[in-house]
Amino acid sequence: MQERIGKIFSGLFGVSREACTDALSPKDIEAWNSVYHLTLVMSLEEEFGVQFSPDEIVELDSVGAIKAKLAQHGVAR
Amino acid sequence: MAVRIVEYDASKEAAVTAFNGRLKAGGATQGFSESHVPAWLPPRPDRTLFMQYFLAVEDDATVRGCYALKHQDFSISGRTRSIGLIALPISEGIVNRGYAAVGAQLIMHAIRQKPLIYGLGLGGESEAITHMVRAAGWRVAPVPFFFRVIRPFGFLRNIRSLRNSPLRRLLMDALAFSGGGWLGIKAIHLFSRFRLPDGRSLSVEIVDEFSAWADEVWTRCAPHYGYCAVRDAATLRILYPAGDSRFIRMKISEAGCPIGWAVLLATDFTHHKHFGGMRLGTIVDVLAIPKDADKVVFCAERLLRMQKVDLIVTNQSHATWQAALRQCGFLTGPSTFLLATSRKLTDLLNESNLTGDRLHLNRGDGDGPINL
Repeated sequence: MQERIGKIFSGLFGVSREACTDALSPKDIEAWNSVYHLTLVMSLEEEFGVQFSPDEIVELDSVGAIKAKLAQHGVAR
Repeated sequence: MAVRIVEYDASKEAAVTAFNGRLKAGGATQGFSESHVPAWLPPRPDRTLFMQYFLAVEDDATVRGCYALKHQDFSISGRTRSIGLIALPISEGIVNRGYAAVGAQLIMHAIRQKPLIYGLGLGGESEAITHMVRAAGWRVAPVPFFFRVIRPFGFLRNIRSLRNSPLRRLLMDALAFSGGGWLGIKAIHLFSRFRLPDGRSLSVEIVDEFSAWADEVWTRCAPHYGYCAVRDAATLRILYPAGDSRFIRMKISEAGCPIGWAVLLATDFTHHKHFGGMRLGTIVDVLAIPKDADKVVFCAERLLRMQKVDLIVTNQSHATWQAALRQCGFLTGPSTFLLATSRKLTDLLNESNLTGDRLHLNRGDGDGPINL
């Protein structure tokens, strides 16, 4: 899961795989705005074959939170 | 952060007022309705055409975002389906980065509520909402813009988007006061190869409201349009109600038989950002079978000319109406009036081979009369 999330963050925000830690959040990435958040959500849904509810979308506010939410959707860590 | 999307009810009106206050304090110009009942198209049990308001609420108390969803029946390849229109999405993220994700949440909620959904207008390519819907995979394209200058003096003296430098203002004033502008417009029309329809058999009636004759027009027209909002008399009475005196509802007949209609506006502006102090004519909405479209445009232009407008503008997506406008001497200009269709709606249109210029959409299909 980490590898695939890292790939998405690298493509979207230019973040290196090493920098893609669980603590990484919009506070650390200037470009992580509403448009990029939506792009991130669409990319995660496509990559992992899941569908987040609208209420979950706003909770995807760090790499750690994304991993936890994907695990809730049955994606293996 | 626990932010949930809920339908707007009376208990959240004070929270919306506080939300609007925070937006204003942050320098935003947008705000949302402080009444939970939509002023335009309020829901009624007997109606399939209505507006619904949603709020993004944090911890069941603080409003962090909002949007409106219009539900409307469309005729798509002869089948009637309810389609959504997303309007006025606003997120606290525009003044507080901590809520940037709320914008994404609102868009996704709208898509889940109504997978067959579109946005119209959107304010142009540079607006955040346009970037958002593109990010969600929506197809975005401009709805062509048409204009015809009727009174060159008023046009040249007021068109702010062209009077954007001292030299241009001087030149346009010179053209206005010398009569050069009038000559120029006449020359354009003289050398343009437009062909006006024969208006001798046409009659025009200004009506207070749409009645049974509009149903006849709709029944005849519907098969000619692959994608078109239902425009029967009952729907038109809701969209352009008799009590709203701003609308000019025009019935066009040929040899005594109603062939089409148009809804027009003649609006006096003062200090408008584009139109200055112009008297602007707008062809808001139209319907006729394709062979009669030029007759409707011809009559609309004549009527607005009698209303002494300086300029007539319209946005029309269907090839039939674009051709009719050109035939009647309208010119095209750059359009910032965008149509965005969700992935599901785009797929549905593609399945029926309904490309952009086969969709009948105009300013009558937008998010309300306030934006006309």
